[in-house]
Formats: sequence, structure tokens, C-alpha cells
Amino acid sequence: MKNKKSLIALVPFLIIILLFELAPLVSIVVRSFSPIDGIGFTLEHFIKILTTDLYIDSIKGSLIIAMVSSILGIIISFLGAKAVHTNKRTGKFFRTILNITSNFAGIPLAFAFIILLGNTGVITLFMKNLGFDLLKVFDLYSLKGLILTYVYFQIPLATLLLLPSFDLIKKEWKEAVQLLGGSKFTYWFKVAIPNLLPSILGTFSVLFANAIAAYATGYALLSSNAMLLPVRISEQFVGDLVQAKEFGSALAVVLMLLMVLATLILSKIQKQGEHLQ
Amino acid sequence: MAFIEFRNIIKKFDDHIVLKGINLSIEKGNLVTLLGPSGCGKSTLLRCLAGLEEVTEGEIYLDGVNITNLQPQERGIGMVFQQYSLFPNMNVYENIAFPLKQKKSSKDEIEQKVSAALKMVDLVGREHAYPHELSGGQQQRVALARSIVQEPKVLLLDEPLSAIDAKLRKSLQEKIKYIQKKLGITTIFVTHDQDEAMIMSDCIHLFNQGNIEQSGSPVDIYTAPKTKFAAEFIGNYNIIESQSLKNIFPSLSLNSSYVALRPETIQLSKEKILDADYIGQATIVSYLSHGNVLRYSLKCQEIKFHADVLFRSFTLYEPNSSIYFGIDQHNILEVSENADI
Amino acid sequence: MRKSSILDKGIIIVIATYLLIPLILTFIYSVFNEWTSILPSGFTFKYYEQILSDPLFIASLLRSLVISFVPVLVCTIAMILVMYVTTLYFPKLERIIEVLCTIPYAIQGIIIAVGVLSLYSGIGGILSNRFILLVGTYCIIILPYIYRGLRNSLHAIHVHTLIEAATMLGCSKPKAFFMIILPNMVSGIVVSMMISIAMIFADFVIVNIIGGSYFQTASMYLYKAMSKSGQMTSAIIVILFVTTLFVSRIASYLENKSK
Repeated sequence: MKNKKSLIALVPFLIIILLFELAPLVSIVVRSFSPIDGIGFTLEHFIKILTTDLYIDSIKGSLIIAMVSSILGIIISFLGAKAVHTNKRTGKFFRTILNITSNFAGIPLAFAFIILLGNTGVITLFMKNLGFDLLKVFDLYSLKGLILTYVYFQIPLATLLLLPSFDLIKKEWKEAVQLLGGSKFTYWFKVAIPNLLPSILGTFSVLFANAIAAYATGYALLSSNAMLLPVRISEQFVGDLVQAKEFGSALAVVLMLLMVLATLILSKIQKQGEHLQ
Repeated sequence: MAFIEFRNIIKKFDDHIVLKGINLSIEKGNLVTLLGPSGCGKSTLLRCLAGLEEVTEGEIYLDGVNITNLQPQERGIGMVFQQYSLFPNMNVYENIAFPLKQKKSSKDEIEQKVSAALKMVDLVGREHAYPHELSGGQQQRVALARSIVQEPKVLLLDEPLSAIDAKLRKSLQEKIKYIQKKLGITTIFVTHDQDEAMIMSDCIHLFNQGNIEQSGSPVDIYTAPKTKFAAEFIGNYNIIESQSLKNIFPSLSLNSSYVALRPETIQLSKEKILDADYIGQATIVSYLSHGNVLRYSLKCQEIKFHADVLFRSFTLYEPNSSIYFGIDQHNILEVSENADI
Repeated sequence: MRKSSILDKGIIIVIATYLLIPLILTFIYSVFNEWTSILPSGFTFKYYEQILSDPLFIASLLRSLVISFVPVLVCTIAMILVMYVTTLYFPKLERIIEVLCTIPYAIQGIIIAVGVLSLYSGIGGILSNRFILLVGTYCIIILPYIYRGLRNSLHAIHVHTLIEAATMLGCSKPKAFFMIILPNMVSGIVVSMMISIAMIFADFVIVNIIGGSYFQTASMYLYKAMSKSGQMTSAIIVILFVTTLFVSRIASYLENKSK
């Protein structure tokens, strides 16, 4: 059949996919079970990960930060999106801010927070002048600081993802609830939020994946002191340490597993939510 | 040999048979309609002729040439689609000039033919408009101009007016018919609207479930449906089981299992003075006014039927009243359950 | 009704402030010599002058622009060819293509970067060239966005009717795709290209892992500057941010225009 000839046009795509998507993924999985510089099957890397404090702490750190920043991010963004939904005029201005700040992440973001709240940050110094030691209450170079910066980049992303679903809320629903004698509380918790739930959960999973794999912000803030899984992964391949491909691959597999697990849990919650409705 | 010949066309999509062996001849210069409900295969046959679908079995001849295996662009056939077929990135002029540019016509020739086509569809002055700036009716006129400018052997119209609102449709029907007659171009028109088919066609082929149920002139099809399906689809025929009618008129002799009665051929009167072959008594169930026609719903024994009366006086027969109805022998059309193939 | 409207406006103002302060502060920081008391002092543009006259920065900025543009171009062309095949001849392949194009979205950049580096860094030949590795990896990272952009702009037009109409007017299918379908997709394609360019331009993770010291981009220049001078760093951030903003503004301008 002469249509078969057209399949040649798929070649560039297939080369890219094969070389840079499928092969690397397969190689990571295979390598994570291989002994260092050898052939065979071993679980030693995973055992090492699960028995070394550094790695356990990094996994915990990543999970906590991803969880907390996603929850805070989704709550703040929900309130923001709801406000935009009800105030069309202010909303437009807010949308512009979201669009602009959604480009502000990674190193620039970390640096902005350093000059704001770091050891010699503007606010820190300002507080000092007032006789108040901010560093005692809030240390930017800690988990709290990381969460503050992570929440920053979660908000524009989450709000922009949530906004379209708010457009699906019908004005008639609110009117119907009012006519049927329901309160505002009833409207939000029995009608609006259940209807928004799929998009809220979907957004949450994007935020979670985004945060758990985020690297630049944490690395710029704390460099290798950051207790984050992505930082542990990358230092197996770059920097001063000797490259440890197999071990790094095992860490990458753990990161993938965490993301898969999060997706599975979320889709289960989503299904249960559907049952309740 | 006719100008267009379909020989035993079978078309299957996977296991689903859409065309079940169509044989059809179309004479040069005619406007022929393929009429039928959606999913009856009429559009598929048209697309097979265009070359947009491959036939599973059978052959198609155009002007004596077997075109069954030719590419669409090699067949010399023009086609107007239901909608959205204009190229959005080209203006009206460029759209109409497109087929001529494909043929590498000279610039002068293109200019001359495009402006003639524009004139024909009354769109002079809109050359530089883009499709999204045009109304649905204007878009279809551009599509028509674009198809005829290449002087095709056959023009195919695949429900071109179904997305246009009713008022505009009438004027476009006339426009198409006018252009068709003026150019003398062999045209096949697909529609599911029987009124449209009646107005437009020289000949109607009525489709049902992948077969041609009946072919004939609009008058033939309307006055003499051969099957139950044709009678139901074409007009407002009363379809009555022959046995029930025999129960009312025992003298009636019928061979088919059904008869079709046109509502306007049934006479009604309060008194038994009707000049008809068969006279019976029925009860008025209700009536509806369709402008100049009054349609009565009647009941006689177990039979329910309609009768149309011109609304020329104020004599209304009230519901629940009893009335005489009369039917002439020649208006009782015997129709078969299925087309005999 | 009124009370809630004020509440909503309050929420917007609080969030907007939180989002804007770091941004504005970075800018102010970059145009003053000192900021140790309440107000900054010593207004100056000298940091911008210094950076823009540093050949190392200009070189890294140019590298950033090149590495942002090349993968986007490669990926877009490859994807257009895929769309050509799936729309015209093999619509059934669309499913597989969709899956292949969504995988990178689910698996974050760092994993792909690590996989690519560990697989190819030592093998020699063209595949161990860091530039090629970066281009390939970025192609995969932006693939979901390019794919979705292309598919959406393809779905926005009545592809099959248009191609059928073109063939009925004497045009071959491939010619119809490139002459009629593609021109109608251009604005959608450009928008997703711009978004992808902005994304790669801001990347640090992948270039840090794969590029390392072999391919210094502006992000890496920025990272190194951080330990030297705060004002200088702010100025670099402002320059890079304005560049990104410029690219994404073009994208949204085109997007609105096409509507």
C-alpha cells in the first residue's frame, strides 16, 4: 500500500522518543537494579537508600514539602480563584499578575527570598532595627523557608489551572440553592465544591508532582544542604562526588514511585468522591 | 450507456454493510436527488462517486470511463459539502481561484472565470472577505462557485443546505436549480428533506437501509409510493393495514398487506351525500390548523387516520361528533411491506 | 453580598502582594548600591552596565537563546510530520502518539535528564555531545506542550472536510495538508512554541545536570553570580525575567489575536 510510504515522516519523532524518552527510562529502571559497574541483579541500592538517614530524610523532606506546599497552594489558589470568579474587574488585573509571576521560579525566586528574608535580607534587617530578631522565629534556610518559596510558585500555577473550572459553575446553581432555602455554606459545600472536586484534585496532583521534583529553588537556597530527593539524585551525576549512576538511578526510581503512588492515591480519592455524589 | 453508472456497488465499514448492491444510472444534464433518512447510505454512495470512499465491490462509470479506482482529484467531479469546507486562510476570491490554480490556469483565465462565478452566485464585491466574515448561506454560495468554476463533469451536493435556516434555504434551492439548468451540469443532490427533494429534482432515488427503495420523478414518487417506507417517508400518508380496511368495506379487494391513503383525498361530510366509491362513518378525535389546511384526526373502528380539508369556510367539525368519510378506489394505493429487490 | 465582595477583594490584594513583593524587591535591589537601612540608597544602573558588558554573560545569554530555540524547532517539525501521518493516513496511531507525548508530562524533567546523561555521557560519538543531549532532552520535556498545542489547533479546524474539499478541487492530500491545514494552524503552533521557549529559557535543572560545565547558559551564570554580588544577581534576574516575559507576552498576544 502506498500509504505506508508516509510512515517515513514518523522517523524523526520516533528517533527522539526512542533515544531521549524510552531508552533513558528503561535504562534508569534497569540500572537501579544493577550492581555498580557490573551486570546482574541487586537490591543493594534500594537497601542503602532505606537504611541511610541522609536519603530517608531527603525523601521525607521532599514528601513533606510537596504535601504542605500543595495543600497550602491549593487552599490559597481556591480562595483566589473564587475571588476572581466573583470580581470580574479586579480579576483581570489579578490574572495579569498570575501570568507574570508564573514565570518567576527557580533560582530567581530563591534569590528574591534571600534578599527579602535571608540573613541580611531587607525585612530581617528592618526587624532588627526595630529590635526584633526575625531569625529566631523564621529561618529561610529551613523547611519553613522552603515551604514559603514553594508555595510562591504553586499559587500562580494552581490558580491558573483552577480558574477555567470556576467558569463552569452556573449562576443558576446558587440561585436554585437560595430558592430552595439553602445557605451560602450549603451552596459552597454541597454544590460548588463537589462539582469542582475533580479539577481541584487534578490541580493538586500537578502541584504535587511539580513540587516533589522541583530542584532549582531548593538548590539555590540551600545548595547540597537541602534535604530534598531531587538534590540527592542530581548530586550522583554532577558536582564533586564521583558519579554513581546506578545509585542515582535507584533514587530516580524512588522519585518516580512516589509520583505514581501520589497519582494512584489521588485517583482513588477522586473515585470515592464520585461515589459519595 | 448512461452518463453515470453505478454497477452493483457494495460498501462495508468493518462488518457494517452500508450499501447493499446499488445499481443506478443517471442521465447527462439531470438534477437527481438521493433522498432518505440519515444512515441510509445516500451520502456514502455520493462519496464513493467522489472517490472519498473506496467501494468494497462494484464499479462506477463516468462518461464511459471506469473511475472506480481513480483518486478524487483525477475524476473531474465537483462537490459542495454540508459546511465548513471553505479554506479559512483564503478569502473568497482565493477560495474560488483555488481549483484553477491547481490546474495551472493562466492569470487572465482565473480572473475571468472567478468573476463570472462570483456573479452567478451574487457575491460580487465580497471577493476580499474571509470565510468567517460570511453568513452560512454566503459560505455555501462560495463553495458552490468554487465547485463550478473548475467546470466539473458532475456536481455533487452533500446536504449543502441542511445547516442553513429555513427562509434562506428556499432562495438557495432556487439559486442552485437556476445555476444547474443554466450550465446544464449533471448534478446529484443528497438530502433527507423530502420537500427539498420535491422542489429541486428531475428524478428522485429514495434510499432505505443501503438499498434504493424507489426511483422516479417527484410526481411519481409522491402520488404512487410503492412501499410502506416510501409512503411514510414521502408524504403524510395514512398507512392502514389492508385487513382493517376490509373490515370496514367488505367489498374491497386488496392484495397487499398495507394501503396508503393521502389525507387530502379523503372527503368528509356531515351528511351521507358523498360522491365516493367507499363511504364510511367515523368519529372526529381532534383537529389541527396548518394555516390554510385543517387536519382532522379520525377514528373508525380500530383505525385511526387523518383527513386534510382546505380551510375555506367556518364549517368546523367538532371533536367527538360523528361524520361520513368517502374514499375513491383509485386513491387507495396498495403498498408492500418491503421493496422487492 | 457587599461584605463578601470586600472579602474577595481583600484576598486578591493579599495574594497579589505576596506574589509581587519578591518581584518588585528584586528590581529595586538591582538599581541601588546599598540597602541596609529601611530605604535603599545610591540609585545606579551600573550593575546592568557591568553585566551587559561582560562577554561571558552575553555568551551565556546567547547560548540560552540558542538552546531554547533549537529543540523547540526540532520538536515542532517532528510533531507536524507526525500529525501529517496521523491525520491523513493512519488515524489509529493517534492513541499511541498521545501516550508517548504525555509520558514526559508525568515524569519530571530531572528523571529524564538523569537517564539521558547516564545512558550517553560516556559512549563517545555524536550522542555524547552535550549540545545534542540537551536538545534531545529538551525536545522530550516540551513534547507534551507542543503536542497539545498542535492537536488543539488541528481540532479547531475541520481538518477532514477541508482535505476532502481540497482533493475534490484537484489538490493532492499531502499538498492539501501543507497548503491548507498547516497555514491555519500557524498561530496555535507559534503560541506553544513560545511557551516552550520560555520554559527552556528558565530551566536550571536539566542544563545543570546535562550541560554541566560544557554548556553554560544564563541560568548557570546566574547561579554562579549568586555567591558574588547581590545587586549583580538581581540585575541578571531582571534581565532574564524581562526576556522571558517578552517571549510569553508575544505568545499571549498571538493567542488573543487568533481568537
